[in-house]
Amino acid sequence: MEILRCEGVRKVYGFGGSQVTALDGIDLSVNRGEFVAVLGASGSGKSTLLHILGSVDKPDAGKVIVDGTDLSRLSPAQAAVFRRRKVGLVYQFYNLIPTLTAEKNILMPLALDRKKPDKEYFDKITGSLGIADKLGALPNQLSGGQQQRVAIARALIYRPALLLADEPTGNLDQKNSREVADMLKLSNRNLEQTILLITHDEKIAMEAERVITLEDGRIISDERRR
Amino acid sequence: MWKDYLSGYIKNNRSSGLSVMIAAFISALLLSLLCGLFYNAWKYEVERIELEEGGWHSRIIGELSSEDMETIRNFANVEDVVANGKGYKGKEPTTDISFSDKKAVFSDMPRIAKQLGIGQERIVYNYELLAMYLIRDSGDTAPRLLFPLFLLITLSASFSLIIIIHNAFAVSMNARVHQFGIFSSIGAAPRQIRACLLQEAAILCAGPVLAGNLLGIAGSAGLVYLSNRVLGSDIPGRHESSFGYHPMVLALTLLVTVITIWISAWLPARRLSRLTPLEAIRNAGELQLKRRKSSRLLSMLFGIEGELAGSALKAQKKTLRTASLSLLFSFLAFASMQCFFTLSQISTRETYFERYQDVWDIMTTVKDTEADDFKEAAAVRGLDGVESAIVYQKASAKRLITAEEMSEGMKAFGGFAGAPANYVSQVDGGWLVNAPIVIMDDQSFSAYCEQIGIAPRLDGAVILNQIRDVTNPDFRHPVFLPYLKGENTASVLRQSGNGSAPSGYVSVSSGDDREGTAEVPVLSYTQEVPALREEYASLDYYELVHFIPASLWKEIKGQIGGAEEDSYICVRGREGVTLEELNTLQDETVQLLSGKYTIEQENRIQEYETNNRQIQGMMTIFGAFCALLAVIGIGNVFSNTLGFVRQRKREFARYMSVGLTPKELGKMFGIEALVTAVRPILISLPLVLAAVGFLLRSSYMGAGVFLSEAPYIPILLFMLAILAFVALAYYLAWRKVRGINLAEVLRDDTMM
Repeated sequence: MEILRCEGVRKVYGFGGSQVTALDGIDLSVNRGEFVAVLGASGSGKSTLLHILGSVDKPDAGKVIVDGTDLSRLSPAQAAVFRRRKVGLVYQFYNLIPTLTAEKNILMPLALDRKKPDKEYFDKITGSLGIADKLGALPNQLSGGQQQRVAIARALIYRPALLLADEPTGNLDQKNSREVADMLKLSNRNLEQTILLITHDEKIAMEAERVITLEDGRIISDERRR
Repeated sequence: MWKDYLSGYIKNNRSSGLSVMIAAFISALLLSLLCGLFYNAWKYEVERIELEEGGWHSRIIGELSSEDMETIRNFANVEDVVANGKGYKGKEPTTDISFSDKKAVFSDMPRIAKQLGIGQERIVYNYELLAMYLIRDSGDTAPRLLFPLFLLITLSASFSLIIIIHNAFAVSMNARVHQFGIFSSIGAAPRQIRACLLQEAAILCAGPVLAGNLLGIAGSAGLVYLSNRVLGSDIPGRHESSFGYHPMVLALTLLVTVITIWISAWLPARRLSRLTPLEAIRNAGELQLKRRKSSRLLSMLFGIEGELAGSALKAQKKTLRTASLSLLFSFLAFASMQCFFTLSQISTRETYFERYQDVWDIMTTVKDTEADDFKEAAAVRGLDGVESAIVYQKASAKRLITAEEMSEGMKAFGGFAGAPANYVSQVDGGWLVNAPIVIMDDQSFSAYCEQIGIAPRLDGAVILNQIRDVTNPDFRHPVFLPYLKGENTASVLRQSGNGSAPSGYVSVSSGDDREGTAEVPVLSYTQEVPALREEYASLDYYELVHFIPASLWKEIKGQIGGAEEDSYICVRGREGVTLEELNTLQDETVQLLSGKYTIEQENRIQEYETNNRQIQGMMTIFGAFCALLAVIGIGNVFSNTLGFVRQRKREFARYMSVGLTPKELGKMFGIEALVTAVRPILISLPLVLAAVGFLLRSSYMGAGVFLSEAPYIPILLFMLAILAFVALAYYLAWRKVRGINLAEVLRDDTMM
């Protein structure tokens, strides 16, 4: 079942002579439960694609439909609610709120909707991410790998239709990178979570079942690995 | 969740909320002061009207029977009915009515009049008093400006405060753009972000608003006390105000303060909530320059540290805007105010106190008394310590001046060619000019005759034969010329207002029409005036002043009239008289005259001291406002510099990583502090100098006179205070920066 569809997505930055085409006619379809890696060098347009898919940014042309919602038609407030409920975002630099504990950071999307967490599900994801004993800590009391796990837990807490991860291992050492990649795989398998992983690291990309390669804002290959 | 976030943020970032709290405190203080002062001004006006006019709401003119009075009392809304035997304007008896519901006065009174069977023309309303309660009627056409003025001042104050303090909120909020980007990226709606920021503002401002309000109330009490001390009972007819406060005023003040602060917080909150998550996340909170700008001067003076400080200041331009504007306006206002009051003090002293120093010590206004009816002149002169006492009255008249009479000097500057039509009218045979008459008691007039070297006579007038050279605008050093040739031995005074149209050419016979005229012999033409506290030809340069004795006035007043209602006694004490002696003399004069006459008195030394106190009081009030403005600026500098460690940690870490030593970083801080503090001063000084130059030129005061008394010390102290506080703010920040762990900062990305 298709969860994400992009049709002719185009994004241009700058004006006049200094224009840069970040995305140039992207057509893409992702089914529910797929683990897709978007591979590309720096400047290939992969982060722009992630921002557009996460309704953080809007395309200049084309259509993006996530779980039946056309993102280009959303108002800023609707886009915020969409991000809260349908998309989980994981960044390279974690983006945790430094004054909130790990637990509060994880529960933030639910709190924005004044919803109570499903205790069982919360325990399940914190347990499987290995941060159950770190929930009372502030972000600066955690290691980089632990902070990234908290960020992944936060992205998963609302059971989003799509988990978008932007270079989640880019700031981690090899051991932590490996672990984070495993966590993503685990959540894909155990929670049937659709994941779109953006990376420039081929090794990490190989963890995904499908690898899309971007170059100069265009998809140059779309390869299913198993 | 928001509660946790807010409490966590506020607890961990006390310094960043400092300028917000200062801004809220100062706003509350100013608005509370304003509302408190307005309420007391209103209360004072109500008391004054009740004292002068009475506290009645409506009045019936003419006698009423006791049955009528009872009928009025029986009206449900009537609170009080008082019959006045003394009568309305001294003519008829009146009945004063007060209503419990004042608003009903205009509907109830016609019904009362109808029931009593009296005409509406017999009803008058105390419009002035009713207007103080915002009760207006179409019959009241007078402009009542107290409330509109208050509204205008409050709106301007709120608007100015919003302009000044919204930036303090913006600085605190913008420091967390990145964090709100994270919130936004995980689905916080703009409304939720706005609500969070406004909640934070409410938490931060609640305490300062209450404290500012309380201090504002205390301040308004202090100002009422100060106004009583400064003005007190020295001003004739002024009653002392007593401080009062009403819960409604507190409610109104809180409402205005909350609205002002809410708008100030809402403006940046709205801007921040509208940022897209991408814009917000990309903003790492570091200072950015939109385009390359070099700081050549700083670079030339201080090298690389100057260049770095210049760039940092340019990048902080927006965050430091409140500080820059507040410091600029406070210094500008303080220096201008000091210079203006110094100029005003010099001017008043030169043109009034020094000029009349040897002319009067006590001035007594004898109400509703003609000079020739005043019988106590000798008794006043007989009081211990009285050197001289002149009883005089003023009257207005007209005088025709022919072309032949005009002096050569006057003709030389064009005669009446430039005379304003409201003072001089061209008539058949000449020009009709104002001829103010100063009626002096006979003994003083005789003494004046001796003073100018003529034999004392009581049957003629002495004419002040001088006119100011109107071509010379320097009022401080006027040049006087003879007005008339001084050949006529008689002067024909005309009734003022008879045959003198206010402007233009009018046909008036210069000779035969003797009705409303009085011909008086001229005893002398002189340029010497008697020792009176009077100014001649100050507004109307073309008036021809006549000094005449009271006995002559007695003869001619029936023909020309025009006398003012009151007379004056100009008393001079001994040489070098003290305030205590004058006070004693004043008491003795009161004892002598009270009961027989209604009098008001002024005391020269007391007036001089009151004038100085008034100026000092005004300077204190304005100075306090300037200091408050400076506090906003300094508070903003503190908040900005104390927030450095959070906001500029990575910037400093980068400098240090490329080899900038802590000492060099300190130098950079020093340069930033210097520029922040000195720039407002450097911008203000030329403006103040230009304003002073303009004032000196327009007041014809020598620069030397001003420079010898210029307020160097207060301006210098204010300047040093700004420098010291800004330096302290940067020093504290510097101490914090010294503790940065370079490795940790360069590695840590969660610091925001």
